This record gives sequence, C-alpha cells and structure tokens, in this order.
Amino acid sequence: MSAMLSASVEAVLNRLLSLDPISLQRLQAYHGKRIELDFKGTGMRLFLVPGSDGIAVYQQLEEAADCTLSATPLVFARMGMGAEASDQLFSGQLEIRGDTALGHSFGRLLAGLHIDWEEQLAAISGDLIAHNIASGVRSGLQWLSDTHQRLDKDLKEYLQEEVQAMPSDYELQEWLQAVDTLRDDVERLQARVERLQARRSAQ
Amino acid sequence: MSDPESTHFGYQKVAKDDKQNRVKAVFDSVAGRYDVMNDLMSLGIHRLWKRTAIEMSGVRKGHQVLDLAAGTGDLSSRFSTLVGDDGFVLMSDINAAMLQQGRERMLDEGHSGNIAYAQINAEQLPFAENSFDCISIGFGLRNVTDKQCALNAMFAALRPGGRALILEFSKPAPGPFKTLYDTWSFQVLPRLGKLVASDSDSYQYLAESIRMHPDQETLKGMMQEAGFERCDFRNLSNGIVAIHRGFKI
Ligand SMILES: C[S@@+](CC[C@H](N)C(=O)[O-])C[C@H]1O[C@@H](n2cnc3c(N)ncnc32)[C@H](O)[C@@H]1O
Repeated sequence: MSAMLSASVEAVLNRLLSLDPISLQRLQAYHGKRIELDFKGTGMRLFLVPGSDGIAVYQQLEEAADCTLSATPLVFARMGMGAEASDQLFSGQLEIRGDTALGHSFGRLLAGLHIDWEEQLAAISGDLIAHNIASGVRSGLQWLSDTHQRLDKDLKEYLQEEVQAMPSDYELQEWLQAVDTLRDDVERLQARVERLQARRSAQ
Repeated sequence: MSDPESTHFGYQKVAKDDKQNRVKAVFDSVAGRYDVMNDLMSLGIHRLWKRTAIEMSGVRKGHQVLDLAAGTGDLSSRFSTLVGDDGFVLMSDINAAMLQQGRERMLDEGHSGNIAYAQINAEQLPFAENSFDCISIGFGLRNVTDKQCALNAMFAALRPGGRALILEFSKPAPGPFKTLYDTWSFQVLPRLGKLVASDSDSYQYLAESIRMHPDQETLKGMMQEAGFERCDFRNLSNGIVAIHRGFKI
C-alpha cells in the first residue's frame, strides 16, 4: 500500500530530525515548500513538505512541486549517508529541476542527516508494528486471540493480504535482505571511490 | 425518518435537541483516551486513511483551510504543514474538551502562527461566504444532527475553486469481509471501549452511528444537493471508509 511507504519514510526522517535540532531549525525556512524526490528508473516519487515538527512525506500531491530532485535510489541512499559524498553527487548524478537554490540547500540538508539506512529500516520495521500502526493492535489482537480465535486469524489475514498494512515475516525478510545487498553495494562503491581518491592525491 | 422532531442517536431514535447533548456526552467521555481508541478501533489504519485524504485535498502553501469536527487535530496538523507561513488553518470542534486536547497537541508539535482554534458547530458556520480554499470534516459528519444543513453551510463558506473533503465511515462492499467488520465493530469494539476507556456505551454509539450514516451514493447526492460540482468519492479499505470530494465552481 502506497500510503504505507510514505508513512515509513516520514517516520525515518522525523526520527532523525528529532535528534538534530539544528537541521530541524533550518528546515523552518522551507515550511510549506514541496520538494519532489524522483527515483529514477523506478517510477516512484515522493513529495516532502517541511513543517514545524519535521517533514511530511506524501506519495502524490495534486499541485506541482517547487523543485524536483531526480536520481537513482542508490544515489539518494548515498546522499543521505554523508555530506562529503554530496558534492560529487551533485555534479552529474543528481538532477535538480525547478527552484534549484531550494533543491541544493535541501539536498545538503538531507546529506547532513547522515542516515544509517540499515539501522533506520530495522527500527521502523519493528516500530511500525510495535508503535506507529499498532500501538493498539497488539494488545487488541492478544485480547482477541483469547476470546475469538477465529476472528484473530481472519483479522491478521485481512491486515496482511487485503490491506497489506503490516508486512508478513517473509516480506520483511526480503526487504531487509534487499537493504543488506544495497548496503554492500554502497560500501563497495565507497571503497572504490576512496581508492580512486587516494590514487589521485598520490599523483 | 418520519417524525421531523426526532433523529437517530445510533439505533435509538431521540429528540433532535437531545442528540447534540448525547453526542457531546460521548466525546466528553472519550476525549482523554481518544487517540488510543482511534488506533484500537481502526487497528491503526486511520492514519493511512487520513494521509490519503490529505493527498486528495489539493491544499498548498498560502491556502486558508477550515477543519471541522477536528477532534485532536490529525488533519489540522498536516494542513498546518502544507499551508506554510502564509497560509492559515482554523481548527474547530463543537466540543471544548476535544478542542483543548487538540490545542495542546498542536503546541507540542510546534504548530503556531498559522493555526487558530474555535468552538464551532458544523451546522452553523459563522463565516462570510467565500472564505476558505478547503473545508474538511474527518469522521465528524456522522455525528452532525442535520447533515444536509452542514453541507450547505460548507458550500457557502467555500471560495469559488475551493473544495470540501469528507472523510467518513461508509458502506463496505458485501461479502465475508463485511461480516467480519460487523463483528469487529459490534462485538469487539464496545468491549475494547470498556477495557480502555471504561465506557462501552460510547463505543456502541460509535458503531451504530457508522451504520446509520448515508452510504457513498447517498452522500454524493447530498453534496450535489448542496450545490457542489464535480463530486466524487474514493473507497478505502473495501469501503469501510470513503473520501468524498466536491468543488464550488
Ligand atoms: C470521531 S471525532 C473526529 C476527530 C478528527 N477529525 C479525526 O479524524 O480524528 C468526531 C468529532 O466531531 C465532533 N462533533 C460532533 N458533532 C459536531 C458538530 N455538530 N459540529 C462540529 N463538531 C462536531 C466531536 O466533538 C468530535 O471531536
């Protein structure tokens, strides 16, 4: 379900921002602006809207964005992981349309968050179930399983299959696997960049 | 309804004046634990429904938004982010206790400057015509005594080009799922209500008021009756909930 994705990304970003009062403060300057992230090659896009308590994330908004950052998911992931990489990435791999000044400064802000994707994904997958979505679901389901065995099963099935609001164990494993692969790729890429840099400065 | 002086309070028929008092009593009694109960009642999915409503609202920077029956402000909070510093959100509810909860929450979240609070009955809007770009009512219309009157008032207060957004429980498509949902809301919810809010009557009322609410097509017709154009609705979660939208052209 698409709303699930934007809810997850929103949860990650805001968790990080809550630990980083300075970025949160800087964000105020963009209150109400729409920044679109276009994940090249996937057809996926997200709209980010900064506000007083963090960033709201939506899957689709009717009006056009103030600026669009367009890049492959890997580039975005990389960008979120550190400011140092950002300058290289800004040259070429990240395309900015619309209000480019906004795009640049927002991109830098994202880079400054130093997102540890693995930790964050682990946190939301646990958290979404435990907290965001299901602060009540668990106790609800627990209670149900005592009294309404059958209903319990139906509800779980309903949630997983019909609404897909909660990932099944299998899906979760797949997802974490994909994240691991992505992380390894990124680490290899980083090592390569470092080797190239070292070679360059040795010359 | 044959008797013009009576209306529905859940499945019980009550005199019109009485309904407002009873609705008030319901929300007074749940205000403190309202957010927890919301999560329980909808298994947390109400957050996703609200998110979709916001995406359909068309609200953007600079807009003036009126959120009716705002409760603790889930929609108002998101609107406040979207309208930016130069926009404005009026968060309103008929119930002072709910509004107070909402206000505290907004302050906690740092929303201020572009948001104000008002105790307002959705049937009698104290605004000049053509005042807002968007008027929303989330899970509130079913509590309103005279729904047509509320829709008319919303239409009048909107600017040309503005839209009304109604997020409300609706009629699920028939099938095994509907049976399950009925069991959930009539058997389970009131007991949960008792457990968490020690108040099963209130939740029995909520479940019943959901059943008495007009279905998708009926509500759409009522919006057209009020003057709205290009009315449409979108079913969420198999029609448990629908988002209706209409424009003032
Ligand atoms: C179920 S809550 C919805 C709150 C919020 N919009 C949400 O989606 O979480 C319904 C709210 O409607 C309010 N309400 C009931 N009758 C009303 C009326 N005639 N005018 C305005 N608000 C009303 C109640 O006080 C209550 O806060």
